[in-house]
Amino acid sequence: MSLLKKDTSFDQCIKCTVCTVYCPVAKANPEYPGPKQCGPDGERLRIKSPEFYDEILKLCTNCKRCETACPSGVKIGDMIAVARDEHAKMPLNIKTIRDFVLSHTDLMGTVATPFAPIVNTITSIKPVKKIMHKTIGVHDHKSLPKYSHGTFRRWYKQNCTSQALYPQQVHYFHGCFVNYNHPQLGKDFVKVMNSMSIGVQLLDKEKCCGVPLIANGFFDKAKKNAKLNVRNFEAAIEKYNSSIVSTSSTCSFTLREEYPHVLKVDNANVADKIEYVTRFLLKQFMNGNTPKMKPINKKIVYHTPCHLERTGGNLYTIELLKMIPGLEVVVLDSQCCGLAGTYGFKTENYDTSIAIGESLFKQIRQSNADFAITDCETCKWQIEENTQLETIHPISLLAMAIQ
Amino acid sequence: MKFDSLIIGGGVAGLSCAIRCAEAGMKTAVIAAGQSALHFSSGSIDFLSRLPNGQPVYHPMAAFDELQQQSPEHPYCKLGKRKVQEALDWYQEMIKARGIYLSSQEDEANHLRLTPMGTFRSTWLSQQTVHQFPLTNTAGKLNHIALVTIDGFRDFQPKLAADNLSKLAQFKDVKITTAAVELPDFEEMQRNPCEFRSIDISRVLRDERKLHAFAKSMIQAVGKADLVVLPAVFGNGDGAAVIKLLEGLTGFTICELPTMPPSLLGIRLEEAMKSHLKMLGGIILVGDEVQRGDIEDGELKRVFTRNHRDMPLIADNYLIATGSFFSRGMAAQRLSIDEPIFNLDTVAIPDRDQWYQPEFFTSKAHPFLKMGVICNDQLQASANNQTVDNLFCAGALLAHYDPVFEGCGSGVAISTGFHVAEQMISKHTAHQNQNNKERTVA
Repeated sequence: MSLLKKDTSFDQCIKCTVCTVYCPVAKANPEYPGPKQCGPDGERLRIKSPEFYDEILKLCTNCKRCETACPSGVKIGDMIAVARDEHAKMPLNIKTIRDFVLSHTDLMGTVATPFAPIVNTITSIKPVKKIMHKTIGVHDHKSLPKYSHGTFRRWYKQNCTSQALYPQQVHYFHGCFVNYNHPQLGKDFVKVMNSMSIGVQLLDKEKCCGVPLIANGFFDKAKKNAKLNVRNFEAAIEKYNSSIVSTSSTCSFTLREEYPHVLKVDNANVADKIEYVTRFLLKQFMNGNTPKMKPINKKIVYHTPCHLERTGGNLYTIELLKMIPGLEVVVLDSQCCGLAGTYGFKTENYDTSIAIGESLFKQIRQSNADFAITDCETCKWQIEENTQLETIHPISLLAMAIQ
Repeated sequence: MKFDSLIIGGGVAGLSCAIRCAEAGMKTAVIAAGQSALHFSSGSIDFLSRLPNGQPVYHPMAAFDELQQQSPEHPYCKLGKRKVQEALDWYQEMIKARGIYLSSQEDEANHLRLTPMGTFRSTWLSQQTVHQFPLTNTAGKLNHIALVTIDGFRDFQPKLAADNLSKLAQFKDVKITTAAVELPDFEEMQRNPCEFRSIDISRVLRDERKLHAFAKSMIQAVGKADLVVLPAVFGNGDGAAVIKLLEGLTGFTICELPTMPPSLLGIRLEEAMKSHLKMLGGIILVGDEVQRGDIEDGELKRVFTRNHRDMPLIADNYLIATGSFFSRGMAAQRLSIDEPIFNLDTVAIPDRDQWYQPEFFTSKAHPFLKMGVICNDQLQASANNQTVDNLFCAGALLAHYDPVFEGCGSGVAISTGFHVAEQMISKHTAHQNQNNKERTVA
């Protein structure tokens, strides 16, 4: 590749260090040099020789708050992720195996869901946690996500046979979390859509969006998944020319933004169709297609996930929550919860992860709310584990309000 | 998405307008493309330090007639003295509610603030942690000033500042000493020696144990002084409280200097304004950028942003406060300038050779700083010579004033932002009354 074709957007950086002010990792862990150093500064050197690549880039959680803060429009987070793709070496040790297990969410889901009760029991036993802590490096203060007994896809095949009868259709990218861990959210999604006379179509095939693979350095696998997903999106649109909706703020961000910017997978034909659910819903509401809602007389605190804020989607979720009658909505200060997908599960990151989230947990603990609401599955785990407040998706709350 | 007022730009002008609108109960959103120029600022509020002809200003309030003579199109002259005063009073009260005490001299004169170069700049309001040197009798009762830095910190060089300061006639009898205090954990931080900025230091000193250790080294390194000057390396939003604590621990009278970016003194103002706006129910769309808007029959109908793509953002009234060239609110071409979002009418000097002085550091003004967007007395913008009734402008993108030379940047930002908000509020109220009346009739 000639130098001219290389991305040289790091030249826009004026070294103001504003990104570092808003970096949750730099705030909590003095080892991390911050986004300016790891992104544009480092890129100048790496472009000369890959030897300048620093393994410390692994500490980046890919939250993209640096990009949201940058006054000069530098894609700092993308730059760090791409550098990891190009230069990071995967050491042959047990932590790589751990990273493989944590990041291959759909493979693990397929293996675990048939034996969910057994797997869930085993991974929550204290001695097993201790062993995992000492051997593969999954911190024993963390609980691994519970698997569901039976997938969402199976439920859908058995129960959603007449979706095509609805006058309008939407494609649903359920993602690994809904399929293997929390099918209820998928069921709630179908309920909400159907109440607005919209049928739900699954894609013929879908793979993990790739975000945990990107975070753990399995870029080749992520690219393979991306290509398969884009092919399936194209086929789906051929069938029904309608939106591809995701109930995960991070999946939808990855499918739309990370595919072209980090994985360099062309999604131009489908990108405009990919929407996070609250954006899709609000558009429907604005066009008069509003479901009937009964009041929910509860107080909720809303936590903005980093990737949703990066794409501006928190605006839609907050508007949507405000439309639910009787609901008292408190929007928490926007700050990273610290889990960042698989990051906070690792023994080497656990302390940083908790330090990042601490002021958020404190705010939630003092809130006296009935629920915490957030759009992201991993934020949900982190908040529930550290505040003991039940944390649910805005769609599940909406499903409660729909008669 | 529909709002009462939509503000494009998250700097001082935009946030001032948004807060005032939100106070009045309007549904308000701010679109901010990255963090604002406050991260590069002193955190003091300049009102008017110099007239366009270069004459220094003692009492800004008393200089309005002269300003009117010299520069009748200056934004301050469009607003009038009463309005500007009202705006600055409002700002002081508003920010006080968030724990930042901005004050001027007792006689409402300008004062001098010390710069990291050991020079002085005239300003009007400073935060409680900044020492106000009076315009006359500048050294006052000070006999001994200690300029203190953190060992290894490159963004403030006390020896350089001391040299400059001691050259001033007013300071010839003042003892000026310098010191460098070692930071606990300094060894550890050397892993990234180029990342030793104000924000990094503030993170170390947030740990009270380390602040205690720092205070102890400081007492030893400084000895005695009437005033200890430190770079602004404390707190992340709550620096004033940290300095109070440090004063208690050391017994010194401590004041802060703004540093190279990120300027924690400026960030303090920004954080205060943003959290105030959110508390009032205002929405901030961070990291987003308006890409275009539809102007039809002299009205801005809707705007489109990078994040919200085909979903238009619609409001009754809009403010454009996107800043000047540095903040990309204005763009310079080879022979012209333009406002990139709406292509609003601008005023520019045709001959590029006349845009700037031959030397960057000069006692004369750079003329390009007076180029910008044209507006009428109501601060409404125009496109193709037609006024856009519901699109107002405020802050650094306005033409006909020089924030640097005249020392009036934040004063203009606050007062124009406030003035626009007042107009939005009265339009909003009139509209609501109209609606109520129609409802009663029906």
